[in-house]
Amino acid sequence: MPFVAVVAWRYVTSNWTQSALLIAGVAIGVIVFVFMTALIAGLATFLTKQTTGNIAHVSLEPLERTSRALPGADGATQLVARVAAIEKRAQILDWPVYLRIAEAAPGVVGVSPQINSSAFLIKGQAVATVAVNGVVPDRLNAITDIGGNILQGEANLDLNGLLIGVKLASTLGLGVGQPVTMRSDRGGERSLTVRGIFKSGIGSLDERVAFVNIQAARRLADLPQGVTQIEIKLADVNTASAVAQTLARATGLKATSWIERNAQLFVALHSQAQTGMLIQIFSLITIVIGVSSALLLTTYRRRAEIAIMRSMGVTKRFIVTAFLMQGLFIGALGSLAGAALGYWLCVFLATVASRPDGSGFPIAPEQGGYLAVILLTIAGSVLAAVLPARAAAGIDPVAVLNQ
Amino acid sequence: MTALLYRVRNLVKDYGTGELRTQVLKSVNLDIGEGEFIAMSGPSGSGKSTLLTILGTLLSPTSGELEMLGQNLLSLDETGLSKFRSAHIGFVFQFHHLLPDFSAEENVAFPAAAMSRFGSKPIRERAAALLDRVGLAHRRTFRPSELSGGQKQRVAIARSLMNQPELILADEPTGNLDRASASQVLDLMREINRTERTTFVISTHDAHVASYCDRTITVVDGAVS
Ligand SMILES: Nc1ncnc2c1ncn2[C@@H]1O[C@H](COP(=O)(O)OP(=O)(O)OP(=O)(O)O)[C@@H](O)[C@H]1O
Ligand SMILES: [Mg+2]
Repeated sequence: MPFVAVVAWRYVTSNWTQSALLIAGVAIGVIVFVFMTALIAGLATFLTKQTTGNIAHVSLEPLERTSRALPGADGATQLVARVAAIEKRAQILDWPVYLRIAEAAPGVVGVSPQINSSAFLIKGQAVATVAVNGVVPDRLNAITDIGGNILQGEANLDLNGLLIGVKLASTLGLGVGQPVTMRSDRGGERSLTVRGIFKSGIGSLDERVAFVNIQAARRLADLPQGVTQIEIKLADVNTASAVAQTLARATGLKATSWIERNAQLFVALHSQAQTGMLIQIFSLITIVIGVSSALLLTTYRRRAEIAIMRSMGVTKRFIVTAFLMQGLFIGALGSLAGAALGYWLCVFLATVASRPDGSGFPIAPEQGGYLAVILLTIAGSVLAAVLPARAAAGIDPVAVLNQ
Repeated sequence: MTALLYRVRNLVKDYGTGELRTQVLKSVNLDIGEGEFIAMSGPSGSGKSTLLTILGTLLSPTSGELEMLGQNLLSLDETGLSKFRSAHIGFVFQFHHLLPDFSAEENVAFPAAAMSRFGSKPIRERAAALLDRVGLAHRRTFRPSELSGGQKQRVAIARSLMNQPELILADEPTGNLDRASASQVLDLMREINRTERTTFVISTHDAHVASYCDRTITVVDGAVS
């Protein structure tokens, strides 16, 4: 070890109470940093999971038949509007082909062809508007785990079967086994029987969605061949954009990822990350100020020693280096201790503060930004030592020695 | 006359500026030969410490010429002066002795270790030998706070010898010591002067110190006689 490092280390260790306090201060700043980083990351993961847990990650739909602009005779454009009402519903006719393509795509864990429409559910005098999800019975749980959340009855989707959420059931006063009439917005009408009542915990699902057999939905929606969409679930939600692009190219259909549909989530995550960064920056500033003021005090306390060293012919550079190295050692010790304690705290919170339903405190201990905080703290501490180092080197040995 | 070690011409030192300007050294001319053992006396406030710190390159004069070992000292920059001081000049002070966080041996080794960048084994061995020489081999690992005043001063002398300087400047080195310790310190310096031909300039108020010396110079009215 260079002699200047020996001197710096001796200065850090010669007054352990003082150094320990300073190092503890640095460590606390680092703990705050680690905690915030892990919390922001954990919250992001938690919110993303919550958002993506019960929705399709990629949806394939027919290309919209949008209004087309046609060049007019005089060079102006003419607008040809489409009249939605009199057209057939947009549908995917060759869906069995696309189903196979989607299932073969990498990272796809579930695919569900659906015929979705809206309808009225009529029970005596009571009427409710519902979103009808016509699904293949054995793919009922491909996107949302309805089967696992059945409160009453069973997840049976025979041709007349109907699954509704608890809120809808109570609105209409429906129980398992009771008949109900569904009238489609296309005019079709069908008598169904409530086979099961589910509780997903997602308000919109429990209140407004009705699951029926895809064959029943076909008739209701007046779609003899096609489906309205193919919904896809992925193993890794972050690959959704890439998968959507690949599938759009492969099928020629319109592929939408969940990311496009949940822009507000990303706005929230972004502002959360910014708040976190503000706290991180302040914790680093606190560390720098703490180290700087503590070292500045030591320069004053050690001015006689510095004068003696200078009289020995020790260069200013040596003194500057010795103080910068004190900053380095304090930063290294404080950041390592803080990172270790911060990790321990995050793990503790993640395990101990878990909720009864099994989901823990939304913190990600492995994402505490440890390397970043250690490097930033060491760099910050060395930077904090610049002012004290210059003050130390600037001490006039004669003024001190003549005292 | 022995070879010339140090040559001082028309040295002037002013403190302060404007109204408060005081001229402490008016015109100092001094030749110091190699191997001399010089006492510097003079009334309090006459400028002894000032002259010693200028000779030791810690303080720059207002004007004049300073030449040691043929080197014009006023032509050196800050770093050059530090290096020169480290290689050729040792200091012993009255109050400010040692670095409190280092053992006696580490204190002695310090000037060499700071120069060489690594505290090597030969440096430690030389430091141990110097401590032995000042009669403190048994106090190698002691901290300054565990040493008596006289012992501290002997460690400081050992340290001033570490880089084998040609000149040692001692500012009232015995001012704080009792008669017995003072004699011990002076005997030691005198012996080093004899065996190593190291030149000493020792400022003092004490006629006892002067009696050890070959030559006494006196600082009065800003000049040396
Ligand atoms: N930094 C300074 N600023 C202004 N005046 C100073 C300064 N240092 C010393 N002096 C003045 O210079 C004069 C000489 O001081 P110096 O310390 O050299 O005397 P000295 O001969 O060593 O005295 P003593 O025997 O008491 O140690 C004194 O009058 C002192 O007040
Ligand atoms: Mg003096």
